[in-house]
Amino acid sequence: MSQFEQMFKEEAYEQLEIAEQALLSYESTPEKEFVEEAFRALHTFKGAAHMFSFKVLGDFAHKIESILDGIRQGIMMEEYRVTDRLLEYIDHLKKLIVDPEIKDKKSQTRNEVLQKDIDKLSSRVSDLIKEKGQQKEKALLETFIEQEDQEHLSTYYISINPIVEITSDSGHPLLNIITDLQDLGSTRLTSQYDQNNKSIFIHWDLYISCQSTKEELESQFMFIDDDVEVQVHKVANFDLFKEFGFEDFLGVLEKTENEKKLEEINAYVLSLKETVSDENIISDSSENNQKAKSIRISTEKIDVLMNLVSELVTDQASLKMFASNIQDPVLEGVSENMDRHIRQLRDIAFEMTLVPIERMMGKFRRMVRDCSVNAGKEVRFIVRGENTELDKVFIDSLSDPIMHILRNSIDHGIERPEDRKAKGKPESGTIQLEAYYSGANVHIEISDDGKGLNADIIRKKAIEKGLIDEEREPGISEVYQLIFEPGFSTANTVSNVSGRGVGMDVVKKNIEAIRGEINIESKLNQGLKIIIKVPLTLSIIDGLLIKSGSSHFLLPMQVINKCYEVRNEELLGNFNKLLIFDEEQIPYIHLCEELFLSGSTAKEYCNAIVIQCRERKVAILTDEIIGEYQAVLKPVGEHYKNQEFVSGATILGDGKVALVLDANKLVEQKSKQTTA
Amino acid sequence: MLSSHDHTILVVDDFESIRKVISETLNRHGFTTVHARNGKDALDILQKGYHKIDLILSDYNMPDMSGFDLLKEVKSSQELKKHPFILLTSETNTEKKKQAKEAGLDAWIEKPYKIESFISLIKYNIDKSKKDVSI
Amino acid sequence: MSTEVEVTKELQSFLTFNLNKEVFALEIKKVVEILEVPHITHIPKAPDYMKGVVNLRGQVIPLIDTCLKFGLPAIEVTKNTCIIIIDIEAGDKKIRFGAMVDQVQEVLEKEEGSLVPSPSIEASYNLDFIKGIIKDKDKFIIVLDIDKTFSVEEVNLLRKSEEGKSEEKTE
Repeated sequence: MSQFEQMFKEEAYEQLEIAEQALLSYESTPEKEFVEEAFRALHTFKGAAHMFSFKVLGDFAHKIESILDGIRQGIMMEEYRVTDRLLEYIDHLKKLIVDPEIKDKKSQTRNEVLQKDIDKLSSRVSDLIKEKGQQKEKALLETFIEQEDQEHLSTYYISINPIVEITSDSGHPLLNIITDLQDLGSTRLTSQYDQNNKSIFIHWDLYISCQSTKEELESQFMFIDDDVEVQVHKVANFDLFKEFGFEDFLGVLEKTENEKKLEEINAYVLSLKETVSDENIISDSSENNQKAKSIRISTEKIDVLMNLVSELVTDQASLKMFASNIQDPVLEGVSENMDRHIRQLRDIAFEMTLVPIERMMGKFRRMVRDCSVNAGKEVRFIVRGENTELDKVFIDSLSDPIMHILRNSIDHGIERPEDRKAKGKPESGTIQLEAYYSGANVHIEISDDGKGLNADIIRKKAIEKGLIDEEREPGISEVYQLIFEPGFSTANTVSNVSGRGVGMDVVKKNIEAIRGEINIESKLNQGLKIIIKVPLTLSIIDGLLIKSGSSHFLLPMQVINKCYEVRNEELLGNFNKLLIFDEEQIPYIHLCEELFLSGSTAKEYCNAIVIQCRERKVAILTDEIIGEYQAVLKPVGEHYKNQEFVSGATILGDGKVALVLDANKLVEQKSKQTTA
Repeated sequence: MLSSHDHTILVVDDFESIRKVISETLNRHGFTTVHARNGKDALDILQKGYHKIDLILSDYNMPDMSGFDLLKEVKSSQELKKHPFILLTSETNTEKKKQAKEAGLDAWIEKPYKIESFISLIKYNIDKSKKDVSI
Repeated sequence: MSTEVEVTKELQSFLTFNLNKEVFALEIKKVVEILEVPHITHIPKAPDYMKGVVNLRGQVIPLIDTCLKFGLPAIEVTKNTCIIIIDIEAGDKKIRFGAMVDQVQEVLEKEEGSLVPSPSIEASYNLDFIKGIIKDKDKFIIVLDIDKTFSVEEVNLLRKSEEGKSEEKTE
């Protein structure tokens, strides 16, 4: 090919000269025909450059072409000195022809600068053309995810049925078209053959995510439409191949009848839709309205806003205290108004970031179903507490880890129906996902009734992999923690579902990245429970401020059931630490005793606050209830990570720090004590 | 399958370098090539010796007479319309593609192409046209 | 010309303070600010040297009794008692905390390189936490290794060993 290169360079150069002349003419007499001429010349140039595999030249020319296209369509008219810039680009191309590999240092830097410049300009043109252009073709799943959208990737399902006989050795153009399409992006191809003759095709399914439009894909088959029947369906306007459960889903599709595939894809896509789309987008059907009614704000800005709201809440607490000390009715009135407005502001700011975890459930349900079909297992999936709300950012970063855990449960936890029967378990396994608030945290528990973790196998494997010493006999919880070690996988056989390299270590890392925690509980042959604990980023809560001894504590309002007064004498000699309220026996925690607090004054009465966490009730005994309090939660820091009953701290109006109690932990500790 | 030997392809492109590169590829795969600079020249060659040409491979944009105009001429001519016609172009406009299809185009190859698919498509179209004739 | 070379030599600053009547130092680049003792909120069930938390302009900061940490008697809060707010790097996170000391002395500026490894000091202190010594007017001052002394791992480690002890006791 190289012997023709010189010839190509000369001919290509001529085209650039033509384009240059045309642009100069356009500058003096802005008539469209000159733009057309320049466009044609560059187009020819581009084609030739591609033929000679000068990709840089061809691509650069393509960008100039798209800007010219903008001018042609009357879009770039206002652009400042656009012809000057175009001439500059053409000059650059001329230099590139001589040195197509850009060996010269100077042209390298020049190239970088101009590439950036032209990218900006040409992408603006294509955006403008899009805006101006007709309504985009609709995909089943329309969403606006910034990153994906930048790449303009869409996912398509192409179903192909042969009309004439096509065999694998026929050299039919279809086979080349399919091969070429697979170069466009992520793809999955399944071919079905005639049962009697394995070389005769009867059907193809091609799933592809690429930048092409539906029309472009369809046109690939245009010249063979007498031979095959092709249906192209745009299923999502982003890359489904990046979705965690998509591989599983493709596995299910392979087992689905051809006619039902599209229906299945629809269902899959709908399950995703719940997760990705915003409420506003669901409620507005028309596309134009959508733009006006919802705006997108960067998460950084929301963070700043939330911090400011938090500060404001703290300041208001000071103001309120100051006002009540001064006892000026005007000041108190102002303070009250501000209090109310700040509360409203807080709630709105809060809502902006919180979404119920229900958002993820469609996706999870779908994945559990797909995955269990693939694994040949029967699984019931139960979700509790789907209304629990979490920061949207957390929802996004939790979705993959949870998918992974669910997948592990199906793959390694739940046994095959026949094995379960043999063990005396119901044939279909159960996976439960439960979410609930615990102090300033949200807990997500994923439990299954599968075979659980086998500590011996884990230990053996860990020794094999050199993760622990042979002599050491680690405790059971330490053994469980081993599965979070990088490179640890308990699966004996690698299935197509899990065991593909991404292990629990990544899950743990992802969760820790959002200041979360992950823990495991398990009983052999009874099941496994994984507990994920993540903070509510947005940590303004309504609480009840109480005082025990000389210390202030805050109890989150949502766990408080009822308050009672208790005579201190009732507690004397109460060895089983139970109190009866409304004919119900409730264990109690005396805060002063429990936390070794000093400064308690011996009064006749103390207050009992009954808190309820997940069906369990505990009464907290305290010296004094001060009142409702709007609190900004602050972390107490890593140093106090082990003081589990403290979920955070808040700053009171007078600048003192009060601890926020983790009601859930208190209840848990109490019930452990009582059962022990 | 028919052998690719003794099949002659008419290569139409205004760039000499491209004509040569394509011919070189085709020759390596056993085809004989004839060149034309634009649609007009190509039509001349076809009219003088159409029976010697087995397939027309043309660029889209060319001065004097474009590949599309050549296509229309070929497909509306009683003698020439049996010739498989392939457009080889960097044009991606699907409208143009549709128009070409309606005008009777047999295949459309986009630059840059993969040699393997390129050759296979040419062979397929020649084979097909020979079969049609034999029927 | 030789004078110029000396001028370019960088200075390293140290903050000196008293712990149980002895002088110690730490590198000033880790110090954020020095506070008088504010209201301290005690955190129940925490190790002794974890004094509690304080409010630093809206931020809740853990507080450590530096004396207890070094096995010296607990600090008795007087008007001289100070809290040194320090930032340490732990992995990719920055941890801020307060170290309570008996009294803050002064800032010493030393030429770079004046921090030397400690000779075998009588091991009345845990040597792991000592970064080296500097000389100031015929006196040697121990410079503490802040990152090590107050790291969370260190705190957790201590906790575990204490737990271990108490478990042994109960068993």
